Amino acid sequence: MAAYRAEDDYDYLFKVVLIGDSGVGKSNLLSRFTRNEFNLESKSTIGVEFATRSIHVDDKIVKAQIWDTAGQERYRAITSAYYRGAVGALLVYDVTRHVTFENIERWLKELRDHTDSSIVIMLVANKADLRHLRAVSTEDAKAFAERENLFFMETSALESLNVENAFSEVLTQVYHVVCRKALDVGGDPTALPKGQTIDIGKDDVSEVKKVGCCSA
Amino acid sequence: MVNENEKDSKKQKKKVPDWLNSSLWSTPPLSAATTITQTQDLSPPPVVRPPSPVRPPSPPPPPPDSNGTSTSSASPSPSPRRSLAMLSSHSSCRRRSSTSEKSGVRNFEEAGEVINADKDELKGESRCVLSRSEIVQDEHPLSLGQSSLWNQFFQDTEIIEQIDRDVKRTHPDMQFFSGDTISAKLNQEALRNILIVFAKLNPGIRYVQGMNELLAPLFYVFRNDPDEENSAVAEADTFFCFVELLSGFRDNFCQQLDNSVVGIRSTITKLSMLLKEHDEELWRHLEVTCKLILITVIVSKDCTKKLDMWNDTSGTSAVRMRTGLKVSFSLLYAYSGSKLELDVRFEWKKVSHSQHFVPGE
Repeated sequence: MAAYRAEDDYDYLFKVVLIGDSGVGKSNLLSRFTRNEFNLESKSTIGVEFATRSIHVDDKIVKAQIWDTAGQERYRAITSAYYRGAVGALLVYDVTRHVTFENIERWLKELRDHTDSSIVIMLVANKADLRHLRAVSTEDAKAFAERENLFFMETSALESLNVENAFSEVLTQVYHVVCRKALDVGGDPTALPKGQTIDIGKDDVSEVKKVGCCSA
Repeated sequence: MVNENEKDSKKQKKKVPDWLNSSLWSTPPLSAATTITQTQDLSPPPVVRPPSPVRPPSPPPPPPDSNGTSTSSASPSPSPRRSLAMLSSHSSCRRRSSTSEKSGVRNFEEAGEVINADKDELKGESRCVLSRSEIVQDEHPLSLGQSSLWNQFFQDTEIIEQIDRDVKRTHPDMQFFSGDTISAKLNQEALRNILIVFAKLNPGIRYVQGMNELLAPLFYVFRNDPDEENSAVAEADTFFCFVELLSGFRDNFCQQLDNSVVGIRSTITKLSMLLKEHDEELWRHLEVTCKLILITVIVSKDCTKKLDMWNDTSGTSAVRMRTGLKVSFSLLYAYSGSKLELDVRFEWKKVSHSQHFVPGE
């Protein structure tokens, strides 16, 4: 990247959604990743909020457009458009509240109903810093992730543990999938339209799935 | 007055509902027992619960007063303070009314009678014994039946937990609502009470995230009334204003009405049309990227702006709704810069803070 690049410049724009029950820490994961902020008493998210951040993958700039939504079920009826065009998803639960883990199955179903089957999904066990309050074991979550073909990572937005890794991993995987897909069709990857739904191949993702890449 | 209410409600919290103490549940299941200790105020409300969840929205009927009679007027009862106090402290068994619910629409005189009947029963028999005939077949802790008390109990628990989570997160930047001070705790308690009572009285709507944001400025105003007498009953006053405020657009909150002409989708369409009329380019852009224009998203941003806005939005609920739409539209327009920054196909100027930041983790 010898030439000067504008602040806004990027090679790829990927839409990533954050989903999970209310109060699991989605907004704090987002603010930790995009602004390196954490707020113990953050407001509840109403409707949808957005943030972006660019990272480098190989020699390319990948801009992540991350959508954060209210966790309450009532908002689902209105936010189905939320999923449109998403190529990555972080499926978040709270390790101290088992019910949020139980609901992951429902979230996963909804995600799969509304997105392309090739979407890169990572199961995120947040609040891992609350070790004395843990209600969901790492093994259970790993087993679930393996069964459902998801990536898995334990994070703590408070301690800034694995947050960067979780997002980077998802973005990198999406990037690889997109590159391979582009090569497959013989196109130039840089010619991909910006800000539009990118159709990533069905077969690619499942092969590169791995579990517990950086779990605590 | 308020002190009495607080005492009442504290007593209530320590007390497990009578029906749970019944000898019929001599060995209550563990899961149920633990949940009970975690939650408070789980007793079902008096029989003012509307007949069915699909009931068309209208302002909640006034609760019956302490001697069990009630008026059928739709406007807030003349003694709102007293009624709310009674509501939040009264405990009663909902199942007894379920039989009358089956018979369809039930008016409020009937509801009053049921309460009377309840009281007579309680006087007549020992408090902790339910008669056997009242245990219907589907009544067990795992029941998912609509009329199951257990099911109702678990659903309530879920709502109350949600409310608790959100009340704690209401305006964390304001000392008035957050922090460890006694007054902040009391203020949170008031928000909590109001939201729980509202959810119980409006089973078709219950609690929707964001209600706390609408409620908070109202309570803030009443609680800071220079007249101490008024400020002391802020909770009750806020409740009735909150009900009145929501009556203007409660249809938007009701899931059963999502696809009707008065539901949220239709409201979003109206906003969209308004936008199209005034700025077709912006409208087209949003149609392409997202239709997620939620009024609450925009309105919830700033407490003081909300207060200003409400000062300007008086009049009938229809007028208020229209004004609300227009306000949303202008705010949407104002915020459009930062929102549209997401998509560089449109080079809109950034309005507020830049979202580009490279953290060093």
